[in-house]
Amino acid sequence: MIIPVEQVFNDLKHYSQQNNSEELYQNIFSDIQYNWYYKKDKPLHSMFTCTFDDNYQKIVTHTFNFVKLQNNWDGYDAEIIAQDVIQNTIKIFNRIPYQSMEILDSENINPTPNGTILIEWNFAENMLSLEIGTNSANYYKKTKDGISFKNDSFKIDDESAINELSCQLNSFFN
Amino acid sequence: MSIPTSVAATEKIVRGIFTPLYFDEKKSKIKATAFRSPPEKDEVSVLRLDYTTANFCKKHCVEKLQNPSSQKTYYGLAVFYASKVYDINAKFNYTPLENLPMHVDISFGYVAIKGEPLPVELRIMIDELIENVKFHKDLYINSETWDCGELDCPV
Repeated sequence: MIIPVEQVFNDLKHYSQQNNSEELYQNIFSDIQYNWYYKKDKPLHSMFTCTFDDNYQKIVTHTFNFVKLQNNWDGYDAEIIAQDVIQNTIKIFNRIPYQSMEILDSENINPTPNGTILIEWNFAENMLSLEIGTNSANYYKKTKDGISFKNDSFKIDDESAINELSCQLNSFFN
Repeated sequence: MSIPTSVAATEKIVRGIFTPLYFDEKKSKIKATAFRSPPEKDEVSVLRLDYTTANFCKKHCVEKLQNPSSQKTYYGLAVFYASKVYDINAKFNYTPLENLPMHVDISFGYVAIKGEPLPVELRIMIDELIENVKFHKDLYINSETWDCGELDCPV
């Protein structure tokens, strides 16, 4: 199903109002705008007339909803998922190849007890596991022959690391 | 029955599995979150099957650990040999609790820091452990007993 981008934003805005997280919404919105304008090299107004597939909306909304988790959400003293972590995650979603967002299952985006977000892509016999925290992230890629690539730690704003992550995700499709 | 403080490599170990937090139902696969330690601790809570029964493990999961509002609805039991923990250079800490003399914690040798990803090497270790775990789905969730046969696991 294809949905207008406006609906994605309206839904997020609605969630943010319910969860006292308008600032997070504004930051995410600005990031998507920035990414659209500068990275996709398209005029800003085109963003509001484009469409996303409903998986993108499902993933972003699912991730955004982690703001609702309270301390001890797993019954084992789990930490809340800080808004920075959610924002970092959506920032990365907006910078990686769109194709890899289409195959991402929202069930494979999970909060962890120490307040990070763990994301796993599974494609054929390949797997890429990405963990995102407040200041940094790391990932590894596994094929049927074992670990084929890993990045022990990178800053969320490190463009070259995000480009490398994009390459690794793109290799799923080659 | 007296319970040795050290866990023999040949012992079977059980961890309760809950959805959606610990299990991917679409892929029928245990998630890495099933073996993550609480923050600022290095302990993943498990039971020693050689010193209890499948019925007790299920009862403990349903009555003490299940919490649907915390994304934890009881779904089944994960079983593995203690040797699989030793194989990845993790260990067991003997931590019997009240009414749970068969309780131990898996220690991976790292204390999770709030808001920071676990080191990649540790995440790979956890994945390796999960590959050697056998998940037994509870087909009779509403039964008070474990009615799904022997809790076997890969050697």
